[in-house]
Parts: sequence; structure tokens; C-alpha cells
Amino acid sequence: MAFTDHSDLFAAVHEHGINTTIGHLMRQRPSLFNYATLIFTQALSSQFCVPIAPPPGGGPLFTVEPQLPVPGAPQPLGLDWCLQLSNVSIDLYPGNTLTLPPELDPIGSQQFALHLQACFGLACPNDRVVENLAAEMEAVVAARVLGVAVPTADVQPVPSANVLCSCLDVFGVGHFETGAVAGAPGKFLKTRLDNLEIVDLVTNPPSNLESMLECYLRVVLRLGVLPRLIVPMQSLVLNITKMLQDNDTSIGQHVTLVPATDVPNNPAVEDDELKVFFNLKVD
Amino acid sequence: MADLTIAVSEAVCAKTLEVVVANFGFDVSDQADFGAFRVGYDGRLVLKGGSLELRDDGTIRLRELDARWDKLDFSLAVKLPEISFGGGLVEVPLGSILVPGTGVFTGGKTVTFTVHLAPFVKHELSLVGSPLIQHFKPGVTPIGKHCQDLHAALDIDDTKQQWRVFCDPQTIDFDLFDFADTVGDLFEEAFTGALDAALPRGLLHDLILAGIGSIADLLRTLLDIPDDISEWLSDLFNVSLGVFNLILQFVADFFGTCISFFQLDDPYPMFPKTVEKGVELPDVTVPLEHLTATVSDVELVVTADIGAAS
Amino acid sequence: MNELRSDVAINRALLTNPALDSGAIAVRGTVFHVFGEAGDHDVTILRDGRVAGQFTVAVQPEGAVPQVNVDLAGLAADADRSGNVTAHYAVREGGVMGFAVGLGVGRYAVVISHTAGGRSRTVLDSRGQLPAGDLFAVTLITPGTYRATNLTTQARLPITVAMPGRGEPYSPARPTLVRAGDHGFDPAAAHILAGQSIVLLADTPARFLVEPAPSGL
Repeated sequence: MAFTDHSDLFAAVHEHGINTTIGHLMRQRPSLFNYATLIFTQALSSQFCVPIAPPPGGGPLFTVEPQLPVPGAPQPLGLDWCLQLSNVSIDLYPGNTLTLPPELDPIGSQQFALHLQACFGLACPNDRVVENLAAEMEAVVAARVLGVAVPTADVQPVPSANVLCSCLDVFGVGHFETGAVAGAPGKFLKTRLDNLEIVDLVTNPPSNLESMLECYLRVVLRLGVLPRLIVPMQSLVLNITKMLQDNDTSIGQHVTLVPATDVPNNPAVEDDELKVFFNLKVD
Repeated sequence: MADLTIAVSEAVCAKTLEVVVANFGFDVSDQADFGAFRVGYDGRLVLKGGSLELRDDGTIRLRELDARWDKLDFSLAVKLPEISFGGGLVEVPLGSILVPGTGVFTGGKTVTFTVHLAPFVKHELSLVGSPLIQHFKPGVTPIGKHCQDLHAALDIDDTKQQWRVFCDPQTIDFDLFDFADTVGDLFEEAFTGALDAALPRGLLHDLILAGIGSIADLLRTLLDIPDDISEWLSDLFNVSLGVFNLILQFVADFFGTCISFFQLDDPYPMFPKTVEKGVELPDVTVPLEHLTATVSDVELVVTADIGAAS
Repeated sequence: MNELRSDVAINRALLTNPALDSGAIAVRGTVFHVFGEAGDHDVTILRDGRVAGQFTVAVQPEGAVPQVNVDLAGLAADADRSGNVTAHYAVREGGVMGFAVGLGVGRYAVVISHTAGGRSRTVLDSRGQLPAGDLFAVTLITPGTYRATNLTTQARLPITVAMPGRGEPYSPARPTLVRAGDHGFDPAAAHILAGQSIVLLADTPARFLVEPAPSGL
């Protein structure tokens, strides 16, 4: 049986290759996996939960996010924090390298399993800092009671020299799709997260804490991380027909690659590989 | 198992061949002096058509490509023999006296003409090749000027490191030059025209041509050839001028070292550069290693590994 | 369109048709002198009346060639450059030297002196008569009628020059011999093809002039 029995072009990436690629992605674009407030570029730069190596080609270490608000503070106050995703790996169907929690096991046909570690760090102020800020807050309240105008202030960071970290093991199950992206030509490979499970976050009495955190991480992945990982389909064949497509006018034709439809799944996740199938379209 | 497997069907290879063939152009020119005459030629050989077949023995066969000359101009400079009027042997009482003739030419007597031979010769090219992988490094891997120009025309980037897959010819079949019979007439017509133009109009012209006799025979005498001018010309191109061998060498270089069927950037930009929150993020690239290419009777399969992150 | 080029240079003297005089040798004319005696002979070349060169011919009883042809225009050009004609010629006793003009518009004469026993005797001054036994050859190119006149006897020879017919075998190198004596020319008329030569043999001293026949003749 030939690879191209049902299409003109075939490409397969083994899960080992995908994981190596993820390694390159994490190394070269750490800002995709690390989120923190601005203070982490300066005073808290050595306080990450997981150290970040500077990317070889230059670029930011993390994506800057706004601070956590202190609800109710008479003047806006913000707490510094960081969220880091690390140890990312996937296991393609039939799923034989990752041990999934029972809630997710086994993965279904055409699915992949995902594992990552999510670390959350909170820059927790010490008592003295809090006391000083409390005095400021009381002064603002008193002024307002006395009818003295108090100008609106920007969010004031709550200084802290100490980041408290907590890390969780996270497992997920997902699948791949191809589709168009508004405003962009061609088809894209999109990664879809179907389910997510945090391992063993137990409270006494039992509560929804695990579910809430799972929900939060699911939303972060689905809306924050995965949309930035869409890949033009032709990248999966390493643009091997670039010369042909770039020079089709020399043969008086227009040549494009289109996803094949004569296969049960495209892309297909099977045999520990992500497979894609293309046909040559000649006009 | 390789990290990456890419399979390309025979149809895609054949379509790629069409583009490669459309960009094949061999410019060749030279001159040679054979004493009594000098020749020069200036031509451009192009390819059309042909078919591609992937074979079970791991080879690629390109069949029946039409090799045609877009232009094949052949110049012949012939030294006219001494032509004179009058003279000859006369018998007188004391014996024979040789009366000297009056020479027609006082100086140069070279007549040059150019014939356009392109319509009168055609060839067929077939070759059997094996996949050959090259790891191209700009500034290190040698590349000739002619190839650079071809690459520029095909948008193959010689400033980037790439893996390149060639169809390296193992055997080349190319038809010898075999000019059509009508070439003889063409030469005679051209030589006559050249003589007509070189000689002054009028009486001298007519007398000289009457004295020369058959223009065709004169030409053959000057070139020292037997009857068939087409055969003489074919031998000239095949052997004396070495054009046949030049073509073979060019074809071997064109397919084997110059124009690869496929090129893979290394490292490959898996995620292109972008701008996020006003910050420019460079390409995310992955190095490709251990590239192999194998051929079966239905497809060409390229495998590679993705090198580890350092 | 085929391209044509040439560096063919035509002998321009062939494009005109002046009279040919044995007393003033020009292109298409050749004087032949027969050396009757052995010994050194001094040859002086005159071009348009002036000395243009000199050389010696050694006439030998045996062992030398029977004929030498020289180009007076070529020798004069060599002499112009170096001041002397450097060639040395030897011819057999009874042999012939032909004096022709290859190109140009100059008119030439030769004076040959035989030096023997300290004395010099002129054996040929082509400005006058050719001695008996000498010859004058002319090549006629333009078709038409000509006449050759022996200026010594005033005898005339009509000459007809015709274009070779299409398909007719034609060779320019087929000269026709006519003898000139006291009783006129023999044969009495000559017919040649354009581009061929007439050779006039002086049975008696003669000076020859060959010219297009005036109309009406």
C-alpha cells in the first residue's frame, strides 16, 4: 500500500516529531507559554516558578498581562502574578506514552492526549507593605467622607519581593481540524481541546475548586494559546511543492494544493502520527 | 521511524518536471578553424514535452523529451579558390608557354554566410536518474553562474540553507545530430547568395559564375566533402565541434546539480514571524536532519528527522 | 533571412576595358621574351616612363627552368620599399620570361640588356618593337568586336569575343595563338569566349595594339 494511494501528496508527522517541535516552540517563543505582569521584567525577574531561558533569536520571555485587581480598594490596587505552562507533550492515537487520568482514558480514534504542567505564581505582599497601603486607603476614605476631592489614580502595584508558586499537572484530550481562517488564504490546521483534567486537586469538604480551575485553564488554552498555534496546512508538507506552485505560469497553468477528500479523515491521527493528504489542483 | 514522512505521487513529480523542462535552456556557441574554411555556431536548445515514470528499481525515468533548437545559426567562412581570367598553356614553335591569367581577386577572398539550421534538426532526450540529496549551504556549496540565473528565474533561494532533491542522471540517451536532407539545398542557396553579393554585378559576375561552374560542386570541393552536405554537417556537430558532448554534459549538470525537483528550507520555518501586542516575534524554525529520498513505482518518499532543541 | 558577409576584394582593373599595348604593358597584357643567348641579362622595369626596379636574369645553357613569369606591379612595389628588386632569376637558354601586371593602373615597359665580353646590348625594349620570336598575350573580358593591329606592318586582326552560352562548357584558360608576320595575321580572324586570352606571336619584329573595334568596322 502506498502513501499516495488516495491523494497526490501525503505528509505524516510522528508524535516524537511533534513533541520535538513543541520543544523548539517553547524554546524560541517562550511568550506563548509564559504570562506575567510587567514587574517580572525587573524586580521579580528571578522569581518565576519555572526559570525561562532567553530565546536564541531574541524576543520577549513572557507575554505581559495586567495585574490582579484588589477588589474594593478605595484606590485601584493590583497584585503581580505569573502563569506558566511547561513540560508540554502530546501522545497521538492510539495513545501509548502518556498515562491519562481515568476521566480522560482512553483517547478516542483521531484524538490526541496532552500533558502539561501549569504553574501559578502570586507576588504576595508582606504585612508591613499591607499596613502601609492600608493607611493610604484609610486616608482616601476619610478624605471622601470630608468632601475633599481625591483624584482618580492609576492601578497602583502592591509591591512584593516574594512569589508564591503552585504547580498542577494537567491532562487534556483534543483533536485536529482543517479549516479556513477569515481574511487568510488557504486552509489551516487547527488544534481543538476537547477535555481537560487537573490531577487530584482535592478539597475537604469536596468543592468545585478543581472544576473552576479546569474551566479557567480550558479557556486560557482554547482562547489564549491554541489560536496562536494555527499552522498553514502546506507547512506540514514543508512546502515541498513551492517551486512548482511559484512557477506554474511557466507551464501556463495555475497549480494549488487542496486537502484531499477521498480519505476518511483529513487530517488523520493514527499510528502515533498526524497525517495530512493533499491533491494537486491544476487550472 | 522518521519524524517526518512526505510522499509525492508520480503525477506531482511529472507536473514538477513540466516546470523544470519549461526552464531548460542551453546556450552554446563556438568557432573553429579548419584551414580552408572556418565555422561558427550559436544556438539555444530547449526541451518540450516528455513524460516521467517512477520505477520499482528506485529510479526515475524521463522519457521522450523533445529537444528542439530555438535558434541554431551556423556560419561558414569559405576561402574562394584563385580565380583568374585568361592564361593557360599555348603551343608555340619552341614548345609550350604558360600564359599567366589575370587574377580576379586582389586581396581577401573569404565569403561568409550564415544559415539558420534550427528547423532542420531535432532530437529526443531520455534519461534514467536516481534521487540525489544535497544539503545546500550558501557560500559553501559551489554553484555556477548559469545555475544562479536559473535559480533566480525559478525563485529558488540560494541565500538559504536547504535540502535539495535532484534527479541525478545515470544514463542519458540523446539523439545524435542528423540534419534533414534539405540542408544541402539550403547551403547551396546561401553560398550562391553570398557569392552573388560579393561579386560586382554585371559581366564579371556572370563570367565568374560561368567559370566556377556548379556552385554546389565548388562548395563541396572547398569543404572537401562528399556529396551529402547534411551528413558532413551532422559529423561536424557530433564530432569535430563536440556539440553533442557539450549537450550531454549540460543535461547531466542541469538535472544532477543545477535544478532540483524539490527544495526544503533548513531549518524550516514551522511558525512564521508575527507581531503580538506590538512586539515582533521571529519565525519558529525546526532543523531537519537525516533526509532520505526513495522511489517506488508510484511515489517518491522523503523522510527526515526534526533535530532537538538546543 | 540568411546573413552574408565577405571581404572579397575584386581586381578593379578588370572593370575597365582600355586598349592593350605591348609598348605599355598593363593588367590583362603579358609580354614574353625568349632568351636566345646564354649569359647574364639586366632587366630594367619602367613604370609610367620611370625606372621602377632592376634585376638580373641568368640565362644558362642547361639546368635552369624553361619559363619564369614575373608580376611587374609586384616587383615594382617590392623595389619601392627596399630600393632594389631582391629576386634573382635563372632561365634556360631558349627559355621564356613572361612580364605581366597583376593589378593597378600603371603602364609598364621592360628593357633587357645582354652583358657579354664587357659590352652591353639591348635585346628587348618593349616600348618599341618586340623582336621576332617574342609574344604578346591579352585577355579580353567584355564581349564585342576588337581589333589587334601590328603597328609595324599596320596589319589588322578582327577579334570577336562572345559570352559563353548557358550550359556551354567554359574554361577561361584556353588561349588562342595567332601568328603575326610580314604578310599579316594567321589566322586572319579570331573568335574567343569572354575571359579567354589571345596570344600574338611576332614572327617578325612587331608592336601590337589591341582595342575595341570602332563602331562600323
